[in-house]
Amino acid sequence: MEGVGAPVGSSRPLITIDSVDKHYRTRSDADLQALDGITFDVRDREFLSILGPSGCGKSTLLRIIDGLTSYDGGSVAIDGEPVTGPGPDRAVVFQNFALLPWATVLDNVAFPLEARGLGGRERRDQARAALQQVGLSEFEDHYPRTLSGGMQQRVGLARALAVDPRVLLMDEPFGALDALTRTFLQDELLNIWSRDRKTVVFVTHAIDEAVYLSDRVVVMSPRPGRVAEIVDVTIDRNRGADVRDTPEFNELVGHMRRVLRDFVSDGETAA
Amino acid sequence: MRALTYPIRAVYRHAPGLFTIIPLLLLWELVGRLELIFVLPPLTEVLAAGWELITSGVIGENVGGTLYALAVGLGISVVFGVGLGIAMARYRLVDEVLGIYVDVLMSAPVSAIVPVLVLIFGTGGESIIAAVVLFCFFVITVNTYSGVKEVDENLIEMARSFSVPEHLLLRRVVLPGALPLMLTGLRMGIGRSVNGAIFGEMLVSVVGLGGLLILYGSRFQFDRLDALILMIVGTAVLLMTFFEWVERRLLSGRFEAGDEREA
Repeated sequence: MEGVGAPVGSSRPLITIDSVDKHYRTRSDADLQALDGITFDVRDREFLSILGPSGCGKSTLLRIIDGLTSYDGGSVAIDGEPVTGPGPDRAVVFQNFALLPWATVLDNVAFPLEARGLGGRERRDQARAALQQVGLSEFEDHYPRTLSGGMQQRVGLARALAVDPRVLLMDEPFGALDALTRTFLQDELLNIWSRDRKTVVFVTHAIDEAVYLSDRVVVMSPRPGRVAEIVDVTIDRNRGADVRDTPEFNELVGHMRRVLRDFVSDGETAA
Repeated sequence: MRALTYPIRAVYRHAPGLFTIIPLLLLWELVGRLELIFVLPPLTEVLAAGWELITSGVIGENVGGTLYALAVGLGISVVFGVGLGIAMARYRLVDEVLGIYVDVLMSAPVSAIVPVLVLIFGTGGESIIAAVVLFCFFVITVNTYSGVKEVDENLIEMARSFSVPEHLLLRRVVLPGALPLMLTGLRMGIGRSVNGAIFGEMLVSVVGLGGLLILYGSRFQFDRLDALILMIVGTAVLLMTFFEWVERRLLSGRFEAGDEREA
């Protein structure tokens, strides 16, 4: 495998997030600040996780990067271009899978390609290639509900890979899955990622998941969401599942757990 | 003992409705024979009159106009009702401008409006078609609206994230998502459209099956009148049953019990 011991990703920033604010208006017309001065870069071909407790605005931030949600201050740019809406350079893997229940696995994966005006054969070929990447070739004629949660999310991943985006945005993609399936998919994701090293922004609330997958982890604090710390994961990229047992790994996990614990106990007193 | 109870158990299992239908039909025959209610001749006589209506060609001559009004009225209602329902659910402005009329006419006693149709469309077939539309248009619109509103927001967002154009979003996400409720609206609309056609014919211009109802009623030909009512009700039930079957076929793929697999 290439890249053993090599510096992780390149240092050139691909996504620049600068002083981004986001406010919500609640039903009682009160102002609720979701994000406060979020500033960090995502480097080209880097695997970056955004880690934080629920309510820290990490999913909102991901939606802002995708262009699904507007923001109230600051700027978000990809390769120097300000984000004004969803674009072909980004693709999202959704927490709830967001598969069309009435379409087969193949049609689900081909759906964004149809939106890009590809012909029938071309989009089927491209969708099949993506399904092969996630190991679901045999299931192309199945309907989503006949698949397990893990398989459904692999379809979601294949759909995002099929459009060959520059940036893969993953919104707690394994959050709805059981622990075993989750570990399995983490390895599979790393496997797929190591082949062409797309830039990945991965939102999660699981500390070990963030450390296991990422080059860097942006730790966020809640209410309003702020960047608390950006942690370099200095562990060798050629990680196996056993890396979880190493002192380095556990030191990083322990450090982030202590950072996060402070927020949780601050915010939710006597809960 | 088992041999005796077998037919009862078979009915219980396969067609429990017969437990009420058969006694009811027997009661009808009895009441008719005893001449207890003058609008209710014995069932056997009603059936004989019905058979005669069919074989003599009276039904054949009159059913055409009724079916024509039904088909045209239903067609108009499906096309424009579904269209309006989608437009109202997708575009806030359309909802705000037109929604109130749909709500009002949905709950209004439409039969009260039918006489007004005569003033607009005259006493020809157009009025009857208009009556059909008036009876079934709004239930189709409202159900389509609810169906589109109930489409999973996550799927719409997914489509937006992949920059899916509106026409494709409608065809691949909104319409399939709204289909179950749209079909419910259509099924209800079919029932109401029969209602509208007969009512229109009775009130607007005495033609078709509705016209025959008026004719036999005014002549006190209750055997023929009852036979006709049975035929109309039967047709409506058949139409609805057929449509339910179509509905199940269309939706079958998505509700098949899935075989669970490990990831």
